[in-house]
Amino acid sequence: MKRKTVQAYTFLSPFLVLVSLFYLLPAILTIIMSFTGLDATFQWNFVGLSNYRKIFLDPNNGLILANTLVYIFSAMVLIILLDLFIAIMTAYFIRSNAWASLFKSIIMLPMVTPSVIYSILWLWYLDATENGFINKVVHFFRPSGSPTNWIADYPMAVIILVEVVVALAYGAIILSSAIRSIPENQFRAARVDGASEWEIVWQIIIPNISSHIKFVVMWETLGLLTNYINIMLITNGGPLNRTEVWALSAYHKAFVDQQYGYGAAISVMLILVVFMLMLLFGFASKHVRAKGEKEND
Amino acid sequence: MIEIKGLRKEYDKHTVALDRFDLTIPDGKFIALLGPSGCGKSTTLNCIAGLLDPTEGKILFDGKDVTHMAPKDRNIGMVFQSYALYPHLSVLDNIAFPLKQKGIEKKVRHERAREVAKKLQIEHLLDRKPAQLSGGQQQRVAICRAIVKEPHILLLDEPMSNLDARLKIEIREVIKSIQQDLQVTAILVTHDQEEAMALADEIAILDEGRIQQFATPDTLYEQPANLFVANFMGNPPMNFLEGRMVDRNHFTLGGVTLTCTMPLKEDASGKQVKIGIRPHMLSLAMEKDESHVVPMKMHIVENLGKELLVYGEVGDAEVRVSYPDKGLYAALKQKAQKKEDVYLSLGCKYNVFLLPEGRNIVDFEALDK
Repeated sequence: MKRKTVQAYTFLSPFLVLVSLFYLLPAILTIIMSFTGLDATFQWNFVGLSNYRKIFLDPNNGLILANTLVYIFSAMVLIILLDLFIAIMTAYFIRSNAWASLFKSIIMLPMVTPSVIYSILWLWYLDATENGFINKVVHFFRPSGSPTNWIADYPMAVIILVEVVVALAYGAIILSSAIRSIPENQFRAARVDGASEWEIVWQIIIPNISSHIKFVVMWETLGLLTNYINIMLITNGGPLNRTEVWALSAYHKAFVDQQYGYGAAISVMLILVVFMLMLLFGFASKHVRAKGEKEND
Repeated sequence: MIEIKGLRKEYDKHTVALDRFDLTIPDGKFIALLGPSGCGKSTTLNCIAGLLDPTEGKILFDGKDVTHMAPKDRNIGMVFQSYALYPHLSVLDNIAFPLKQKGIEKKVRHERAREVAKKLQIEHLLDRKPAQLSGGQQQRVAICRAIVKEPHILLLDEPMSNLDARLKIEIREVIKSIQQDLQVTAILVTHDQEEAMALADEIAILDEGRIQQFATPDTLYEQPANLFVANFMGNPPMNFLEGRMVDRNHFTLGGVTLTCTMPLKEDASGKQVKIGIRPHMLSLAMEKDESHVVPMKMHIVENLGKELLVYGEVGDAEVRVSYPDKGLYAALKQKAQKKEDVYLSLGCKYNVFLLPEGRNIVDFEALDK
């Protein structure tokens, strides 16, 4: 038994080294960096907590925080509602596997498309001139109007829409396989017991997949908090910081303004939030499990 | 009263699960649909429940056509093999679920759920979740859920197949007493003949989407309509001896010509028949005498405690004989070791199945007179 453990560690150690090199070390470096005034001159001079003080004093950060909350909350609500809708439609109402898989493959396309290509597509769709795809469609129906500058006029709506379309497939697939694993007889029993299809959705399907819904919420929250690639490629935080979110601002401060120390501090704040959220989710699921076990006694 | 008229169900336009299916079930009766898997019994039940749409035919409840009505409008209760309880609801809420769908107020429906639970002795489990119950307890909850709305018809889809032997008998008693209490029309689907015999007033034996015979358990056992029913009912199974009708009243069997003591509905002279006899109706003798004339090659003999079970061969057919005189065990064992013959008498009660279709041509009405 003991020899087996030693062997397992031996086999794992190359990966442990790799993980330490590429994940742990940068994280530690970031934390150290956040206490320095590192900038374009690459001087590691320690400045104590002044970067963190700066976060609270920076007048833009209130707006950035508000943007982040609006962005995450709206995208999350839309993603979960659409995921549920797609999953229930493809796994419960459409019983044909062929159609359901075709539909799932289509919604997976944005997820597997490289962000750069995907963003260029959106830029072309939303182009401000009359050559933009959406403007062309609008023009077809209302030839008198002038073209709309979608990205400038509705920047937050645009990035939420883009992110929702990308993120959709993951949750929809998890939820639809969860629905498919509900025993068919539960639906039959509910029908015999007098439930309508709508009541089956609310009283049988949703409670049955509630743990999966929680997982998707957690996963998407972490994703939305840390992933800024699409926002960067489409609006780059603009216009006038209207779509600047926390993670993107860390990037901007570090790599555009070359305030590496300040950018690192913003990242550390984000990591702390992510870490606390993970603890919270972990605690919540443990609490649910403990409650279940208590009921078992 | 439930009337099923000319029901036909096709799956994917190719496989026919049910064909020309007629059945009438009077109010308050307990009916079993019995047959091997794939015989169409579950399809029938699902059509009655409204969970499947029949391809053709009609289903009437008390004269009202319900063929295409939704399950929720049929006033039925259903119990499934896999219990099909709602895992996220407590036992109490599971039982009260059908009442909730009717829009009955929480206090009232919980009270009624409690009453039903008390009847089935599970009132101490009401706060638990289904996953915390044993199979037998889960099935009791499922039965409660099925009867709580006082349905007109109770449908039981193999409710005991997932339970072990002791629980099977326990749940059997529960179902029987509930059905008698409520005087509800009940339809049981099962592949277990013992279950069907124990519970049902009348049994429909199904094979290949058709009713082979619909009768009381006694009639099915004593007067099977055809080879399938004869083969399906009874344990140990009926013996089938191949023979040929010589004339209206005689047949040959294992090289011996015998007088047919059973009245026959038709003259089958010259045709191949199978003589079907229950193991306990065969009489056995060590030596040939006036009545024991059919030779049987001995294979083995088993001592079952209350009787002996003798295995042998007549012609090509495997034959089992129940023999009550255990004193002969040693002698029969010796014969079996030497592979010697013993002699059988067909007794006074047997069936004559006309080949190839396997119809029973014994005239039981004439026999009863």
